Amino acid sequence: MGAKKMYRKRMRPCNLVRSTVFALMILGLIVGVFGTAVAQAKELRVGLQSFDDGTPGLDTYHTTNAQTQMQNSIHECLIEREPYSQPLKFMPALATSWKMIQPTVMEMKLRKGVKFHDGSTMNAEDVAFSLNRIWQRTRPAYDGAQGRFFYNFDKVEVVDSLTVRIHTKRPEPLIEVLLSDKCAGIVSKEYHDKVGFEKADLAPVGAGPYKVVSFKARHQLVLERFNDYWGEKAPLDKITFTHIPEISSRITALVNGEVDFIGNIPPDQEGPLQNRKDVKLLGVVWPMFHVYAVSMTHPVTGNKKLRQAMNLSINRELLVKGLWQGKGLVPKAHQFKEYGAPLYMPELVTVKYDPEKAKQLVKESGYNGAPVVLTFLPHYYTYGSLAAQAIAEMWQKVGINVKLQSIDNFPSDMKEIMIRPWSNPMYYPDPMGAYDTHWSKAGWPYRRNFFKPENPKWDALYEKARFSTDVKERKQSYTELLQIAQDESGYILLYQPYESFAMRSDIEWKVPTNMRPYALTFRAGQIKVGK
Amino acid sequence: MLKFIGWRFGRALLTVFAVLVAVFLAARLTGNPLDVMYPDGLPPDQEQRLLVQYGLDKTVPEQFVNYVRDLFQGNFGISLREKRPVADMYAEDIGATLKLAGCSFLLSVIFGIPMGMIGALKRRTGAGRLVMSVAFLGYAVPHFIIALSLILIFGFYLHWLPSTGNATIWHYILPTITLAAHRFASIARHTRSSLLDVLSQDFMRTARAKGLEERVVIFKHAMRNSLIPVVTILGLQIAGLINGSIIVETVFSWPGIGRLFVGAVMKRDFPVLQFGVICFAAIVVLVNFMVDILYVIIDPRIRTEA
Amino acid sequence: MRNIHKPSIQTEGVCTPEIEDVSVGPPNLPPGASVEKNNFFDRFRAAPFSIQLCILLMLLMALTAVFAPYVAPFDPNQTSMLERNDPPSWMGGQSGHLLGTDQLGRDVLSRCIYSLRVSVGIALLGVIIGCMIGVVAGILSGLLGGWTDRAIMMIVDFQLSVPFMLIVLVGIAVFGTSIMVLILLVGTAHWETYARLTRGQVLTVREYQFVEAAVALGATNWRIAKRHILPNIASPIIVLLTLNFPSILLLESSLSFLGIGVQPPTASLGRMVGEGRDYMMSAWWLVISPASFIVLLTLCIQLIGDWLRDVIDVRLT
Repeated sequence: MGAKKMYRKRMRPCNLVRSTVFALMILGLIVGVFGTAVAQAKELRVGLQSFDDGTPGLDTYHTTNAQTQMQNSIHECLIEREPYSQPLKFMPALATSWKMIQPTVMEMKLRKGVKFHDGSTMNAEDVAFSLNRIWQRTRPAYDGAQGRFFYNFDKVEVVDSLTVRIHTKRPEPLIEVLLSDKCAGIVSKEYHDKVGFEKADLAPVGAGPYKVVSFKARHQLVLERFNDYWGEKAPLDKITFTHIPEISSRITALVNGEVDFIGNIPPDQEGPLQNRKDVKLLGVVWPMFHVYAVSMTHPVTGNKKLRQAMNLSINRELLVKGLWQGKGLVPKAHQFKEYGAPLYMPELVTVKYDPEKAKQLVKESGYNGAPVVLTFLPHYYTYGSLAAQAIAEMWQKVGINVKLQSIDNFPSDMKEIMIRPWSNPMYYPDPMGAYDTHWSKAGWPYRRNFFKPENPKWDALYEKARFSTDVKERKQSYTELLQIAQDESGYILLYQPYESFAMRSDIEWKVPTNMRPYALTFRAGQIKVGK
Repeated sequence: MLKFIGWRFGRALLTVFAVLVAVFLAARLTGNPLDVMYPDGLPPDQEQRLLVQYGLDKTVPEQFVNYVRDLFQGNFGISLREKRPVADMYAEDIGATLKLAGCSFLLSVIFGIPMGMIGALKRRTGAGRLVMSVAFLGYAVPHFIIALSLILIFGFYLHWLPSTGNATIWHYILPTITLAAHRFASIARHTRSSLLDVLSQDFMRTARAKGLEERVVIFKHAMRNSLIPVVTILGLQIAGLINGSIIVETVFSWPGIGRLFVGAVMKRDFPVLQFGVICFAAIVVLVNFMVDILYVIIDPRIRTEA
Repeated sequence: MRNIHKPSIQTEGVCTPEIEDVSVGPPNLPPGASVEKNNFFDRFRAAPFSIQLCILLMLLMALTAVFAPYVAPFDPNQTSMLERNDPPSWMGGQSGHLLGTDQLGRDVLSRCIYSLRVSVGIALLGVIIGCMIGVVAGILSGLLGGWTDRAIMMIVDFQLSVPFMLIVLVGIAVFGTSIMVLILLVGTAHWETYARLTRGQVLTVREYQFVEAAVALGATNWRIAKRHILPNIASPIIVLLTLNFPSILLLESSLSFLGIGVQPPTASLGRMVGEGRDYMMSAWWLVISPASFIVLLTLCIQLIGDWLRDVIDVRLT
């Protein structure tokens, strides 16, 4: 379909070279790069800005925004989330039923006869393998997923071939939501044992609705519908993800009919795609904050009043209006409306802009004018470089001596670093989905001495916000936690970014609100292509 | 003669070895690859485990000895990022880069040589200068601006040509032009200066004095003689073309080794970086070596003390 | 191996100048009687109109760069968040900037003017460093011969067999992205061409009787270099400089494309183009203005270099 359309388009120019073009075209067809069978299949070609953040691979343990785009189609969890519902709903997937048999033990019945992409059948051993390796960090690679989601999970116990027991270290109120993250996807143990970790990472065998046909880690991933999928079959025959790092190239590829779907379009690049018949834009304000983590232990930024001044002097309205063309969101507190009732608190405001007070705080702090080094990643976050330059100016105005420093990778020894840009996406729709996944004691800011709240109430409040089973108590302690965090100013929220997807106008797709940002949902009922 | 070849060969080997040492050390100076692979850091025990696994826990001389030993056993290393043999990675991607380089090389010769001829033959006229200016213009615009402009014009606005990947011959057109644009200037200038040198020599005067037609003089005598140095240089430029593809491959999402190279530096993938640089050096040194030998064979006047 | 006119290898596509055609005229003239007799002004008047134009443009740009603070209409670093990507004033821009504003609402013209300073500075220092290293290495190599010669030629071989772009990438990864590092790195870009040129010249000159006589009379190496070699290579070196300069200018923009060139908030032409490329569809003036400066500079210098080459080369006169 796509290929044919492209050729027709290219025949449009009626000029002298047309005959040459035509001859070459026939040659191209003879070469047969686009076979007719492929051309008629229902295919979705996706252009992605990036494929990974350092370690390529499609196994479940990767937790990056880049890999989540592809993982969702390949892997299947014991429990799946309904992508759009509010409040959040869980659907039985590889597990058919589950119940708590003790406060720290959940028993799950597995679905019978589920096939993996390699044709093997899923059983309890596969589940135990897939989850235990990450929970028990049998490889350094699993460290990220374990620290972010599973530090309270102990082990999977095999009861019989279709029954497993999930053991947590302490009662886990978030057990379902965590088990439905793609990091808890189930892969084939048999396959892993056969080909080894490295190969299984580049060509994973899962139980999701699409299977991997080929993966070139820097260029292209081809998925095909998995016909033995346990549930409703996938709507697409084939999905091709192509790595197109340049924004202009990506937009052109879409307009030119080379791909059908692209993402990562910042607001000031939308122009060329607006008001077109063949393309439609889909904007989204991500449940995600761009954040500056400020070292609370560095001799300069260890000064709390200075950090508070830095926090108060950022004109977020201006950044959102200027950089994000008014389309991003100014944060009021570290929370997102996607949590839904009752945990989202629209009335809660902790983040403020008050340059006068900031000036005063700088004076009170006894700050001696030592340079505050704003280290930024010039290419990682959208507008990261521009925001750094603008914020440096704002800080300068309240009397802070800022020095900009761009860096491509942070060193393992973070002692010298004062400020590190970061993002706080909502990994799952719960306050902890954006908080615990970043600011817990398992996260790098704590482990690497960046985030060390001094307030004596912190630990007790955190306990309740994270582990309490009483919703009211969680809510109350979370509110207090956010207020303390604001006082400590160990992190500075900047804004919620806005981005667009663009797709062929006959594609129907919407952003899944219950999944983490950037997850692409191409399963049954989640995308429609063509008539 | 044999002594010269021996000397020359020794020098070539020494150069490759020097490159090997340099790239090995330089790679390790860029920092710890684990910082890139695990941006959020690892607990010390896990980090140690990985360093041992990659052999990075040893001292640099030890690592070097191990690496050279592996090289001689035909084991070129495993990519830290992709966790597969680097030789496979290069083998997969070199084709795309070579094809693109070849096409653009052809194109730049087809246009560059006539441009240089016009530049030389009409060198005192406006036409000559204009042609050379056009050639230089291709060089004056940064690669990625040419590439993006072409994409915008022929992809975004006209929908004539595809802009990403290398699936069909159509995909070759824009990247080929981009890469060739930078070569026109070089080839045109070489041709022009070489032709000018020949034109000023005595046998040209003789040829004209014999009453030969000007066209015959130019094409039969002048061009033939002036092309020899041009061709020699062109042959060597193929290596350069591969290099120029770093940017072109990024803009056109071309699955070649240029991106692999840059990625290896940026992501500190030592085995990929080392293997790429050493291969490149070996090819260049080999070509250089053969050219020197050829020179001696062709022109016995060049006597050597190596 | 003595004075083989060895065609050198073009190892780096992104940044190599096309310099191989600089043929050194056979210096069959006694020293001092170098080719350059008439002064620059006579030459300028004799030059074709296009060259005159190029030279004038170059002068104009040089003056603009030197007097940037007086010429630039705005502070190049003054951001204005609400006037981002505003078109040039003659295209209906609201904020009244002649060439519009950039991603942070800064005046594009003023940034171009200041960038000219940075970029030309980097390129100029770069070629001078390369030239000095190369000439010294060439003289040492040619005059001392033996192992010095072999060692230096080895380093030349080495430089040729590693893609230069890679040397720069690794250099930056090791030493960081300060402007000094950048200048030093681009400074090593073409030294080997100067070295080979100088060495060849030394070897040729050494054969002449008057030099042999000078040596016999006890002239020091330094004196021979000063009296007999430098005057003879001055002209080709100037030509080489004009050819290397654009390549360094372009190298700087290539590095910015990869995100490792000049770092913010300093503006350079390369960085403006490299960062502005994302806006080619939506705000083309971010790219076209600095790119025009690059193209103009590069084109002028190349044409001048080519003309100089013709004028200086004795074989053609």
